Amino acid sequence: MDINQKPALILLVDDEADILSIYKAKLDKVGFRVITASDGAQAVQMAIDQHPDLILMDMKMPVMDGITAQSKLEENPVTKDIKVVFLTAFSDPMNPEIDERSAKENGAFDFIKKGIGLDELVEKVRGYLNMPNA
Amino acid sequence: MNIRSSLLASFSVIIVILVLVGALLMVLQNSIEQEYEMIATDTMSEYQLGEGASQLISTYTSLLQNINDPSLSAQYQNNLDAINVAASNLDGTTLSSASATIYQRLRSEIALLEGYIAHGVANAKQGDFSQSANIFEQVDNANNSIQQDTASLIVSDVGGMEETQGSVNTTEALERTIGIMMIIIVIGGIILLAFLLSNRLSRPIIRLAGIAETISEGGSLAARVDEKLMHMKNEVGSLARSFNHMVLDVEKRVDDRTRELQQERARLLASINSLPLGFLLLDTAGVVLIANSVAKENFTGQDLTLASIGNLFVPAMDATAFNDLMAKKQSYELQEAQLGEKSFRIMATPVLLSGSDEKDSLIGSVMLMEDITQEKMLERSKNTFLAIAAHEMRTPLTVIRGEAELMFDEPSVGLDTGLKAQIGSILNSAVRLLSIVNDFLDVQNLEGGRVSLNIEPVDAAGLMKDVIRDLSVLAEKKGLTITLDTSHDPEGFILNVDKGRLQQIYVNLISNAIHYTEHGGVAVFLKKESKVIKITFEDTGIGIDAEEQQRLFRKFETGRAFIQSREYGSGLGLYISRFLAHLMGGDIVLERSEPGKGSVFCLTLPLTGLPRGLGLKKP
Repeated sequence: MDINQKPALILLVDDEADILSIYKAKLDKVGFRVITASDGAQAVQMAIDQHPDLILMDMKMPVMDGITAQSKLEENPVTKDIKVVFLTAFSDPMNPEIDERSAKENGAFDFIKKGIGLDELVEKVRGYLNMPNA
Repeated sequence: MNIRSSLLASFSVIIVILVLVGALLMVLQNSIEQEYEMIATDTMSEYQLGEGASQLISTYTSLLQNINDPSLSAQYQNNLDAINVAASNLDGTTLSSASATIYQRLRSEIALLEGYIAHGVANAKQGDFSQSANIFEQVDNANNSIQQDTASLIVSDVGGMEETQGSVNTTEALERTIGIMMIIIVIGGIILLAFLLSNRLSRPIIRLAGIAETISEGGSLAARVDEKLMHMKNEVGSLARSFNHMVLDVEKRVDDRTRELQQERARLLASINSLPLGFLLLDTAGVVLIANSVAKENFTGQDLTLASIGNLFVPAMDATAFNDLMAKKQSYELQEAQLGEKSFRIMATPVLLSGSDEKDSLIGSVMLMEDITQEKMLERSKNTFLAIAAHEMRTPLTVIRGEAELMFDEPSVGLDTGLKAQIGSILNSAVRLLSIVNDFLDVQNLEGGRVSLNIEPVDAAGLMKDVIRDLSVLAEKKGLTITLDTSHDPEGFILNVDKGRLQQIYVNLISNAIHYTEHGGVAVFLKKESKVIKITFEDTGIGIDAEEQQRLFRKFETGRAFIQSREYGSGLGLYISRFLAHLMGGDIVLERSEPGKGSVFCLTLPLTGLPRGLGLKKP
């Protein structure tokens, strides 16, 4: 990482505060700048305001779900180039329509299954940002 | 009185009349013949009388010339006698009044003639011939009168004879006619009698035959031979009695068998009705012949045919496929079909009738409908419950795992060794739980068709090297080795697969091998075989016995021995791996395994990439 370059800014979006805090802690620790939002609407606003390098977003959230938020980001020329990766369980029996296919069809860059190890998460994030793994 | 009796009576009357007429005619003929004879005799006598008179005169003439000749005297006497005989012959006959007058006159003329001749003879004997010429004249006159009278009698007799002869001829003609008539009538009578007799014999038999025919054609056994036939004293009567007896017996037997069949049928129907399954018997045209109460309940107001009931199900039954299978003598099965609110499993099997030629012929099919509504509801609620449970566990487990990882990695906290080990243990358990939950959710998504493959060219051997490197840490802990042989893969196989999913399969197969092996290690071979790449995973582990091999790829199954010996995995690993291999156009099989010696699993994947149509499965 270039010393003079500011570390990458990552927007973490999830309605589960615990998940947010763990991922933020890990990503902070390995040197990323992390901002958080707890629903899709908030996330869209923050993305417009702060233009993060990468958004890691839960799919099912109150107020505005991940898929809607992603389409809004896609429509906005300011945010349309931001890579969106979904954090998802793909397992909600109450919302069986939210699956890998729907995520891909909605233009997500990739998806990360919740429950992966923190090191694996860091590895994937570095991959999305085209950074070499430590 | 029937026709037969009238015919017989008329026939008898005619015969009697004919016989009487014949007899009368014969009597008549007889009397006519007698009369003829009499007339003939009379005529003969008259002729003799005439003749006698002539001879008497000539004898008299001769005697006059030679009166003393004794032979002439004798002749004279003879002639005299002959005339008297002839005359007396005529005495007894019955003559007509005219003839009687002539006869009376003739008698007196003969007496006169005899008197004259006797007078002349007496004169001649005395030698007195003075009166001879006078006497002779008188004799001659008498003779002429006699000749006239006999002639007239003869004429009269001949007329009578001719008349009589005519009567005889007529009578004879009548007799012939009557004879012919009698012959004709007798022959006719014989024929009639024969006919009546044969009719009398054959009619009961014809009636019997008619009754037999009624029974054989009409199917009803109610027909009986009537009383009249039964009471006949001859063989026909005996036949009729036997016949009735036989029919009664047959009827009783048929009744018995019918009752038995009805009972049997009632029993069968009751059995079918008491089935907790819908039962339908269909003919080959798909028409329902028998439906039990359960089946009827579900098809109220429907035509019971395969076509009409098959379309009620969701998904509908494919009647064509159904019939094809039946024709091939195979079974049909529809695992789950909705009918209104209910779920059914439908099974059908062909009904075959063993023929005499040892070939079974298809006569229809039996269709069973098992109500699996409860079962399906239970299964659905079980799946829903597990899915919710798994889903709800994932977030807390992710948090536990994340927090443990953060604590484990944090040097600033300054953990002592014991605490760090405890945190490590929490971390391991969380990871294991998460992997079980993930496996379960994976299965849910795979089975629900909610998995998409990210197909890209993947270096099969290169990915294998990465996986082996990652897992070698685990192997080394158990003192095992993992080797990779790519000597059969000089150019490096490139597969069109989902890299992440292929990796998942590799990890599953190798970590299983490590897990169940205590000594030795795992050897992986890559080999090209025609259009597939074959990747073999060979271990020197505990192996799997035959019984366990059967269950190996099933959901939630690991070898029982493994479950008993240690805790490992969700039992879904092989099921998921094979599911994924199938999605990518390949397969996983257990090539061989021997308890105590090890197992060989084999993964095959197509070199041409993913077959069209696979991978993206709509839910």
